Amino acid sequence: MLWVIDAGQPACPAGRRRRRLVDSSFVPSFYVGGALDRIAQLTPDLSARFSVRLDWVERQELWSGDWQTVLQVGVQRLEQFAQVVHWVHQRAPRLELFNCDISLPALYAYEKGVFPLARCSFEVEGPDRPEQPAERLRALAVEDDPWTTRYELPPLTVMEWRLEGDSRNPHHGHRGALEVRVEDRVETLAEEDPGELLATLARRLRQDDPDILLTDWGDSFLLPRLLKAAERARLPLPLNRDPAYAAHHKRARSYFSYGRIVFKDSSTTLFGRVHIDRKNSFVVGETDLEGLFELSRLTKLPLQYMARTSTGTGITSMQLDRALQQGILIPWQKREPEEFKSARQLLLSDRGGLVFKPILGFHENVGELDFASMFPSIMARFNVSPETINCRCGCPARVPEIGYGICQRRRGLVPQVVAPVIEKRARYKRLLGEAADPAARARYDDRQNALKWLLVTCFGYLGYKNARFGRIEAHEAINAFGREKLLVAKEVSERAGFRLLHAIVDSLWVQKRDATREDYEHLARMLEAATDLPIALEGVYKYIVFLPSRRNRSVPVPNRYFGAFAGSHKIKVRGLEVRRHDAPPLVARMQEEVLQLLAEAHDAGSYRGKLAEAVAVLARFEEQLREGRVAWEDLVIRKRLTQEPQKYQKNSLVAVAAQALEACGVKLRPGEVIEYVITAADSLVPAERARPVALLNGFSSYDREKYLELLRKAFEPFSLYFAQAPTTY
Amino acid sequence: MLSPRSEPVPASAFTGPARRLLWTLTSRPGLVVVSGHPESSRLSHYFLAAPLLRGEAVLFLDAANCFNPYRLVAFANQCRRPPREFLERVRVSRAFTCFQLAELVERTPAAARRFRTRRIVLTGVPDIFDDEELAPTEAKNVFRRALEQLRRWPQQKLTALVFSDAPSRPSPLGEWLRRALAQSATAVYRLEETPTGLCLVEKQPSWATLRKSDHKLLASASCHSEPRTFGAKNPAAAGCFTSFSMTSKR
Amino acid sequence: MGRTVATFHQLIEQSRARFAKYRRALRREDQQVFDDLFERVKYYAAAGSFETPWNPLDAIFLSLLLEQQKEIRALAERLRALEGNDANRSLAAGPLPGARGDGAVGD
Repeated sequence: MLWVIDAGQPACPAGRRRRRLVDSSFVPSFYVGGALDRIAQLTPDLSARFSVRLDWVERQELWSGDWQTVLQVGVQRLEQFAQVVHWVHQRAPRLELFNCDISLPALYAYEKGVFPLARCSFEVEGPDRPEQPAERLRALAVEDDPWTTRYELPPLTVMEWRLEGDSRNPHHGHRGALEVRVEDRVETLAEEDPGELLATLARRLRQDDPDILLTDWGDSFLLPRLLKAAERARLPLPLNRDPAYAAHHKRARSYFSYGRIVFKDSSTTLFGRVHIDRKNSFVVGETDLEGLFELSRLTKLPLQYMARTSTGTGITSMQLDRALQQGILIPWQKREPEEFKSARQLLLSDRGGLVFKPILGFHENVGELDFASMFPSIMARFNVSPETINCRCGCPARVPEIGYGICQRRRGLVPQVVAPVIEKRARYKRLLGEAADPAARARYDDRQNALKWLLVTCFGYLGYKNARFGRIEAHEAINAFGREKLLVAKEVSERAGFRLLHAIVDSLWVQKRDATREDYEHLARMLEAATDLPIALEGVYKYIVFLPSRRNRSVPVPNRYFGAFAGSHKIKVRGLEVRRHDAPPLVARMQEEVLQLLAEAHDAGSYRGKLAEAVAVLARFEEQLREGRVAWEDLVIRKRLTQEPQKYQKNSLVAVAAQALEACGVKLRPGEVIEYVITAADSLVPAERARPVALLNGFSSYDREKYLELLRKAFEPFSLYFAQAPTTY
Repeated sequence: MLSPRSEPVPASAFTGPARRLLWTLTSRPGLVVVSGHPESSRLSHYFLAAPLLRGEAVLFLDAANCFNPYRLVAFANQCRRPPREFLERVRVSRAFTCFQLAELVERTPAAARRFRTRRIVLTGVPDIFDDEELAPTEAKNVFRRALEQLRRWPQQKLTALVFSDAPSRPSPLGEWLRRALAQSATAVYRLEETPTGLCLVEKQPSWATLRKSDHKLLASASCHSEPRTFGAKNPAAAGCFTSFSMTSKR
Repeated sequence: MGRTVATFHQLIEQSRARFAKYRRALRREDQQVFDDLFERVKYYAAAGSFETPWNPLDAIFLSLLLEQQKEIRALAERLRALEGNDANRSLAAGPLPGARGDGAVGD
């Protein structure tokens, strides 16, 4: 079933332009491989039990690239698809199944070449019976290209729902009236009576008939509660366009990923209308709706799904699509294990990227050179893909250090998918550079950012255990290339007279006295030639300060610095509170103001002058605190729960705040973020030390000393190397 | 108590009889399960010493992501053997899903021929099948297929030592898997911490708790009738372990 | 899929742990130097990691020698500056940036 916006009849009232089409030509297929006589034994029963279309076809095996004969099973009734797969698997567990666990909406998109928000032309037939609103699709032609950078989106009506005030987690006690917004029209529904509220919402939904319902906390809070209220009051709430379905609710869970606990909230999705919860969407959080649209178009994943899944799933979808187009069979469970390697080989290959710790202190005239999308570029440039590494045709060793072979005959699936994404991102970055209109700039930036996330996860997914196209050897090969390229870059820079100050995997900070911007540009071109990978000059810093570990001032740590770019007042910061989500806004604001001042400095001398002004800024903030003039919103600290609240051993501030919430009946799970204010950090009574935001009341006071300490600590990085004489050289 | 993960566990942590057992278990065909300790898999490295000193190669099927090459180096240094020799003779393959492990098990006899060895160590089995992302029936199916292969190994003159970590949170599926594995094993040992050190206690599958559906698994299971605790029987072998201590990972 | 082999950072920590008894029997002020040494080794982790030594202690000791040699060079340079002329005094009196780095530009 497809929902389309009819662009052809602008004269129609809005409601009439949303049309539901049913395509009954879609027959999803999976494949059965193995001993042909065994497969043949299956066929009589299979066609007797189910309405299936069986064909012997030639398809390509992923790992070897060999063509093999397999049975194509086309399932004519969509709802039976999983059932047929299950039946075959039960009857013949030794036969291999392919393409059997691809989600059907995605499969439809791959087969028909359509994608969400694509411009298409349709040939339709009226409904069989007049009371049925769905029309039948007879033919579909896509008049759009997912790879174009200049596309027109359909005229979408977006309705926003959120609770009034700051968007804090309502599960932790935040309440407010419901705000409904369409374009610039905001209506605040303060109805006390749930019946009235529901009636208003239903009326608004019918009137505006939004295509997208954009909410804050809609997934786990607003929608489930409203639906429940509607049920209790026996009132209709037409969240779905499609009355035949109920909204779909999925439960929350906590799980471990890359050594960190992640909380995945529940979700509520709709039919015939798209619900997106800004507070439950990584993609929308990072790249706005514009990024979501871009990713949905490229990956062919439905909007509601793309909004809630990882970009890794997105890149996998593109690989599945590509495999399908090339007749490559997609194995069901991921089962290709690591090849046996000697312990010596394992020592060599099981390593990550190289990091050169920074030379601490204040440095003038420093250039930062970045390998652009290093890992994806390596995949694309050197044909690194699960099926090309140590290929069965025995191509020669290509991978530095670890000596793996890479296929020279076949272009890998992963490089095929990644290369055009890299290219498209470069096009967006170019457009971003050229665009003058702020709206266009924001749009291009969101889109290139979305593509960046797609590329980032692409590498991780080669090593991820559940990734379909993952393979350890490919992951190891990319790391080996990465190490080699970084070392070559270091060597070339040093030979050209630059000094390596710091390097992390795919970025280098180098310095040469009196080097001009052109010299740095020239170096970038030299590195490109030497490494065979794209390299960009991120910028030349007037000065940069590499900072030590928080705990020990003499210990350098990677990626903790701030620096001011030449030719602008732009500052780049890493690892300071201003960049961290958990710091109180007050602290972040102080750093922001100070950095703005420091951005005007151009060398050690002028820095010292600006630092004196910065000290005054700090003093101002301190005074506000001491006088109690700071609003509690500015003192909120956000922390992620690493375990169940009652399992915390020590009475840390997070534990105290979490336990206080639990005592009020809030159910908290590991991986969730909670917000609190420090009230009396040193109190002997643990419960007095901190207070969750939801339980703040007018009488709560904050711990001035503690916040003063936080402020001063956050100022330290700026004055660290200027306590006495500046150490410049 | 066994030292926490950050500290080295010397071989002297094993009792004398246990150390002798490390030697003998790796020299005869069988499907031996070692379990009962939360870090059984990590302790599997001690079982590598005997075959390596005998000049044999070992296949290490690591489903617990615990293999530590530096232990081999330390061991070689202590025995005054070139580390390269040991590092080359242990062949590792890591499995991160039960599907990968099942596939690996299927490919192992061929790999054993290729690398001219009969000694195989498996870690994190059956633990890796106890995966909450997988339907229990599916996990059981995959496990049954792997087990079918594993059971044939002793007849192919292969020695398989299977290390299973005591679960932090017991689950019905985990119980089923461990029971099924034990029933197919030629011997099952429990790694126990005693005041005199780590020891290996031979364990019987609990016949009483068998369910009807498990009976077919028993067909080829061979078990001893009485539990045995091991005394000093092979003093020649014991000496090799007295100096055997390794630095552990993490 | 999580790394299997210890990183060079972890190896440094393990080596430090291996000398726990040694450290315990040091005087307090010497313990601080001991801890400082192992922290400084981490500055050379890229080299240690890239070489992938079978005996990490070799690379750790080599890193320590390197660090000491740099320190000696830096001190020698400061001494030379102090003995040389008084005009450089103000420069020499400043603290060394992070106590490292200066020596490396000498060549």
